[in-house]
Amino acid sequence: MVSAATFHAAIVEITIGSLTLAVICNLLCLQFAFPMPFDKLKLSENVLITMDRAALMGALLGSVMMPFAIFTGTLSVSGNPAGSELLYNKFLYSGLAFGFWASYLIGRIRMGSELWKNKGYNLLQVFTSIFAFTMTITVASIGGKIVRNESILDLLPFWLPIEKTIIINPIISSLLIIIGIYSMTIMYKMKDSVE
Amino acid sequence: MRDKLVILTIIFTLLSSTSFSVANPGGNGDSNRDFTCGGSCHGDPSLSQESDGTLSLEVQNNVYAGNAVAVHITASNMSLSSNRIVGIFLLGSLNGNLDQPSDYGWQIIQDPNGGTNNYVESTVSSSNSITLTWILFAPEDGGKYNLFAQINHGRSQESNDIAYTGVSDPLLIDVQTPPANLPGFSEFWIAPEYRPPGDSTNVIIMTKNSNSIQVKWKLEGEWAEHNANVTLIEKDTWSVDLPPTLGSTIIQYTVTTSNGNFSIKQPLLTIGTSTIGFEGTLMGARLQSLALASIIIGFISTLQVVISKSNNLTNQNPSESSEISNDKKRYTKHSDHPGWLWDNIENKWIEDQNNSIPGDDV
Repeated sequence: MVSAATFHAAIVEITIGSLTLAVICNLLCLQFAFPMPFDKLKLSENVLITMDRAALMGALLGSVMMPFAIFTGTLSVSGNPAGSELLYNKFLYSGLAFGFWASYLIGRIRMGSELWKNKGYNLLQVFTSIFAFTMTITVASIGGKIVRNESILDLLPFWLPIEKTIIINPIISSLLIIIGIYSMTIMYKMKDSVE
Repeated sequence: MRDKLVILTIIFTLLSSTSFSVANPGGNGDSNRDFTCGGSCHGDPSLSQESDGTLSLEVQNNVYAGNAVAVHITASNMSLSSNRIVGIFLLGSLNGNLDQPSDYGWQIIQDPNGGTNNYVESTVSSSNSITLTWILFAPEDGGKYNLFAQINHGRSQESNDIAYTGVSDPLLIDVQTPPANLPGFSEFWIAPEYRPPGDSTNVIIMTKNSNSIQVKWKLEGEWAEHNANVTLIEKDTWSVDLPPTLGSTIIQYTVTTSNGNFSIKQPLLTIGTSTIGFEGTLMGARLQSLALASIIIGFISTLQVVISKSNNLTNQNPSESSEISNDKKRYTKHSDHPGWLWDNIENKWIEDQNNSIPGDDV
């Protein structure tokens, strides 16, 4: 019988790999709106379109796999899966990562590939994916901390806090979920009216 | 070629930034360890060097078999690493393994950090001297026994991250056969290490051959001692009322065990305050995670709408200007008719709203 931890390792690798590809391609998509000053580094329109599609597919695959990674990760923990600051933070940063990646995907799907040519949208999408990736590797880093007591991010002089956490009362969390959904609904109605 | 060199340089830099240390700079934590185990790096002559520190052991004069005894280890004048951590072993021999005090009949009641380990880590103050005290039950059989101290530490200067180790001379202890009915702690008693913050539950002390006990307590670092209320639960089992503690507060207490013939003051013991357990729940974590995700999606969606709105406004502006331009083509001013415009489409005069004739207001 294959354990949940083994499934977790495999799914995490798919997730992180796809999302890494997505963020790299997104960074290259900056060239749609902000052409490179050096001709040698300029990418052709066709290459940029490919980057956009690769980023979309990478983000889509990563976001679809993320809930499975969370699920298998929860199963692979012996004891309370949220029983320490590190484990609790895994949930929180996973939520943040999923939020940013979902926002990126919503923007990209709603506005299509043309969005890259608009400077505002382009920057918003790139920064969203950078934040999303930061949250994603923070989650992965917590995994390294738990299993090996170290992570690659230890090489950096500073990083997001992972050994301290803030616990919000579940009632307040529920309220925040309602506010989030309500704000999304209003924004989509506003967007439709703007269009 | 240049790109390859850049990539190789980056890889080399990343690899160089990893640690080549053979030591464990943060320590390994308190535990029961043999000299060999604890010295896996410190004890290996190829990976370690001799410490420049001085180690000494001290024990009370009369040590009775099966009774509590305090062993004080003082380490001083070490050249330490920047974190000033030292690891100190209490050993029964220097065999390399099976050399813990328990292998020679000693039983640790309390180590210097409140636990029951023969290896503890501690931070040395700027005085560069530290004294740690182990409270042990002496072996049940009388005779001569050796105890050793060993120290492990790092060094900040000229160390190349090498581990440093030092061993004391043996302390020969003559464990005497105790007089009959000598009162003391029960060998089945384990001194409590911690109590939860604010916990006022009484501490249970188990003794042997005792008709009464007296407990005096004080806060660590203070001189004033207080008598604790003691209640006999059953024969040789006592309930001691020590005040509840919070945070890093540590209570030190001494127990004097007595019967009609003897009154023995036992070594100083400590009891600390445990840290509050983590109170996160799985459901709470899931809800908080979803809350963060929904708030982020809501926020980014808002930004997308804001950008969309500003784009629409930008797109509207050119049409407005073209209308103005069309208006200019449609309406023609004539110097003979100030304040009026000729509509080229409707072929009629209309009033110019932007140009009133001087004097009209009068």
